[in-house]
Amino acid sequence: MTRPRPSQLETSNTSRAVVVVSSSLLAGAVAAVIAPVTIQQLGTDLGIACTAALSSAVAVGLSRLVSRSAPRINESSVSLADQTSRGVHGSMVAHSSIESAESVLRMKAMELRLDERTRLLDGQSDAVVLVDAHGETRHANLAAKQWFGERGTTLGTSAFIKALPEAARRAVTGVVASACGERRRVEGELVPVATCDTKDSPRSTETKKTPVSMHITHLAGAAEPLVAVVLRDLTAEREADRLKADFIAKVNHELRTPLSSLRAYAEMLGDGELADESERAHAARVIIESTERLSALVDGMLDISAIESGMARADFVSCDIASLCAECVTEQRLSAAARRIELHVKQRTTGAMALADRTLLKQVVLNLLSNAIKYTPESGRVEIEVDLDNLARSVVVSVRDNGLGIPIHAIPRLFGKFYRVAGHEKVAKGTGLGLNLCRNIVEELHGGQIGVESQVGEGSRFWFAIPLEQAGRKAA
Amino acid sequence: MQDTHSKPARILVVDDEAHIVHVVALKLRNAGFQVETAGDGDEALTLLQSRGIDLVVTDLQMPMMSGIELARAMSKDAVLANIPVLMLTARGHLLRDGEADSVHIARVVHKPFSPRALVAEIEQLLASQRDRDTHRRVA
Repeated sequence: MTRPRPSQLETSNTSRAVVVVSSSLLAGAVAAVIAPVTIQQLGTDLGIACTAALSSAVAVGLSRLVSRSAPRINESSVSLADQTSRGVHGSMVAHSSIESAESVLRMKAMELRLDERTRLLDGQSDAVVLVDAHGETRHANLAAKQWFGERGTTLGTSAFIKALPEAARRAVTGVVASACGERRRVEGELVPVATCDTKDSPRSTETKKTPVSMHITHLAGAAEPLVAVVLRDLTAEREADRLKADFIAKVNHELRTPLSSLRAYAEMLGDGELADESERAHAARVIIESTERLSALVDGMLDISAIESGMARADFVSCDIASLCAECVTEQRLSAAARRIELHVKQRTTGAMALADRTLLKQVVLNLLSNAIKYTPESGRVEIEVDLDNLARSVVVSVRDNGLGIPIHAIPRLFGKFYRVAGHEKVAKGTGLGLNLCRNIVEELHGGQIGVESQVGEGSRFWFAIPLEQAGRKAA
Repeated sequence: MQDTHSKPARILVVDDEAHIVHVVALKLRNAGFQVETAGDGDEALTLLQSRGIDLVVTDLQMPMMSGIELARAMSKDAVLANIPVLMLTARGHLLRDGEADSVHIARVVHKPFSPRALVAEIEQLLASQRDRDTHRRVA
């Protein structure tokens, strides 16, 4: 048997390379064609990612082939050129050479597209892993590698599947065996590989598990059964759920407390247990106060909800802030006098104009003044000041008191919903929504800022700043 | 109603809501009990040490020290651990599994509650407590 000459061998390899690459190109094209189908099936942005995973699985094989075959193609072009120079079938060789060059260009273009898709996948915060019918990993994006490590996502192994919780493993097996398009969602807990055991640091029983969801989809249109596993960290969602449950518990408590007073006093009045005239008068006062408190709670929650959901519309007009504050002071004089509190206006500027919803802004000033009066001991002092911040082009309203003051640890939570400073609820009643509403009105509706500086036993300064009305910028 | 032949039971009512404390105390006094009141857990613990309390009615959600924390503090004290605790909670506020048992909460009454029903619950609890004490003495 005659051994082929090197040039013959190279030519034969080139042909094989082109044939194999062509089938990979076809598979890549299939993946590209099924992309829209998969997107629709998954119905999320991760649909794109999964499709890209499929394409990039093809890309793994393709890019290896391209990198292996391209030098050979070039080498064979050289040897073919040699042959041409020797005058062997000159025109045919020239034709082959052009075809080879075109193939290389096509492959490079495909490589570029697949590279873009891999980048798209790697840009996802969810872990995306493509698994074949044997449970072996065909592709894993960057997030998957961060979750499971290089070892857990080694291509061609079942390390990834083995790292999944039992329920997820069963779901993957079920989806592989089912029809194309089959989807399942599994929730579970995983320990990210960063906190998993290594040779140096064995797995701790204290290791924190992370809640995750896994969407497992049998991809349609692939030449063989392929399953996309999309894993999402649910920590933030669980925290949001916890905050929501906490909020509902607080609302529940805040609503039921005045309801309890109403229920109890009404029953005792009905049973004729309040024989004493003063007890009956007290019961009537509690009933009125409780209904007012319920009403204020519902109003507050509706106002805050309207602002937070973007439904509230502010009626912006040109406002003289100093005159608005003076009106509020007039309205609060009686309650200040009842507690022998001196109420002062300290005006550093006149004619500070801002585009504001007069009613809502008045609600903010009244709330700050009323809080200052409530939490300042009798014979104390409350002062309101209107000033300009020329640098920030804003008007600053401050309400100062020499009252109880607020502990530093309470300040970050002070503008939250239903937060009451410990001990303050004994001093005065409140819904725990007033400051949250103030923050929403100032910051969400007026684009301003609200804050507080305080020292326990010395007093507080609540302030808010809203932009000054710009020349030429008038209310609609 | 209270057993007129024995000394009236002394009940401690704990709630940060002054109206609730007032109306519960009024109802209990009308029913023949002796009543002590506290606005928070710390004040309650002080009274518990000195006033010979037979039963505690406490709100669950209170600032600084919750009703559970108060009950837990009581369960760690050899004398106070035997005092039954009736907890007032907003309906829907679930105690964690085993939480009520671990801190000896004898009953949970949901807000808004009927003062009449509350008195009935208290009388039942005190009767069971008396039975237990009798058995203990016999044993």
